[in-house]
Amino acid sequence: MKSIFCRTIRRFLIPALFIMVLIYTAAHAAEIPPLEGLELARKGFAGMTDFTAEITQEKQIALLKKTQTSSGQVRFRRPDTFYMEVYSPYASRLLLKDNILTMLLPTEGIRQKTVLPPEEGLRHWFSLFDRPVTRLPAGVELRADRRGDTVTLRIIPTGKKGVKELRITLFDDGRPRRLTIEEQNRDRTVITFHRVRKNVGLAEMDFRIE
Amino acid sequence: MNIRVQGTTYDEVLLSAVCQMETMISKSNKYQFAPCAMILCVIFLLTMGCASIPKEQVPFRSGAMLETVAAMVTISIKSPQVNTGGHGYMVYKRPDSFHMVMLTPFGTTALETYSSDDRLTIVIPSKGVAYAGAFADMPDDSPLRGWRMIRLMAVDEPLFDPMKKGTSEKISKESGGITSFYDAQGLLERKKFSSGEEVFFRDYQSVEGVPFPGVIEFTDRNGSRVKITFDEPEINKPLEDTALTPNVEGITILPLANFKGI
Repeated sequence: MKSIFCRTIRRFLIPALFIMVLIYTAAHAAEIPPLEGLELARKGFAGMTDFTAEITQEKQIALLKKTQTSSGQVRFRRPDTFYMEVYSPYASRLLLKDNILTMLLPTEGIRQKTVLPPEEGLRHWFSLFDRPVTRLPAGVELRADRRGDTVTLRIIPTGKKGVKELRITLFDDGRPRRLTIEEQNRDRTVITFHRVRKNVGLAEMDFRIE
Repeated sequence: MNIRVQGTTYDEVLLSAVCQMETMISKSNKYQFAPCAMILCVIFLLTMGCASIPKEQVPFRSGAMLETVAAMVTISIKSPQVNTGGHGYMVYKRPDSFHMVMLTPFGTTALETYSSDDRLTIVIPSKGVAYAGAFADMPDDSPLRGWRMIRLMAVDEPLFDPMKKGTSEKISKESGGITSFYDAQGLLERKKFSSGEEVFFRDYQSVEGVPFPGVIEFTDRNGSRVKITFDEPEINKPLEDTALTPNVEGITILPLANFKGI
């Protein structure tokens, strides 16, 4: 009798309890004050000089009722250089050097260069991460939650322009895990980062667009 | 273990393999063959992803019309002043309604255009601004100047007519003459307008019998060239009118003549 009881506990109750705890913790990530979330992200990012990652991009197109999946890679180096490549069939390359944006469509042989206003440049944005965050950015609602070793920031612009919600999940050492962009037209893009490596010593030659 | 697979189509190959597996399992200890069965299943699942047997194309239907199109697109716009383009998606409804969305590399919407008849609306969601007006209002230095040729894609005739193979046909309209050129099969391959524009239809595929060009290219006498490459087209599926009407709620509308770029 005792043996059956023990076996039942071992076989069913303990795994059930374990699963319940897992589900509970997964579903109930702790919501934290948005400033604390921003500060956690900032601190995590402070120790990072560069990173590389492979990405999977899933674009859900509401109008066509279909999902387009692409893969590619990204590279970032402080203070102001970002490179993103999306592989075929929708191949594109993008290089953002502070506020100079260069895009290349290799198959079509199209290269475009755009100069953004300085306040939209990478250097400006990342300089905000150089000092502790004391107030929330204007024009957005911000929510944050913490789950295990990740922090998720939900940025909800207050206006009705383009992006409805931007959600970024970072590991506590600053490495990106997932970026979700929801648009007003009900389109949704999820970029998942894989094999993220930080502080690999990226050089200028790693940011050549062709 | 030597498995001999027979059959000419993928279904026959699969059926043959399953039958042989069943025979082996019934003759022997099923637990002993379970790993073999699993390995076979995995092999078949993997080969399904790279099946070498091509999908049979439905022959072109003579007289089939393009009523609606929904497809992923890659667009390039080249002119002496501009060299631009990108990836996105498009819907079209006969006779001449278009909605095209260009995406950023991050997958978000960079720009949307809606056009019908001679009207064009360009929406830039990130700025909360739309530009509306007649195609003719578009400034000459606009990067989308060549986009006015999209109207020429509206073909109000079948793209395939075996009776017309290898011929050219001139149609007179109020706007001037249009000459259509058909290839040896009877597929429309080019249209030439007396105003100097030309439209080329290439890489035809049969979408459930409806001939659809995988590439459409427009040129004009000013040296502008617009190329649209279609991917995964869905042809003649129901399309709601809302898909072709701009939602300008909360958007500032400016004259099209003010549009200089994104």
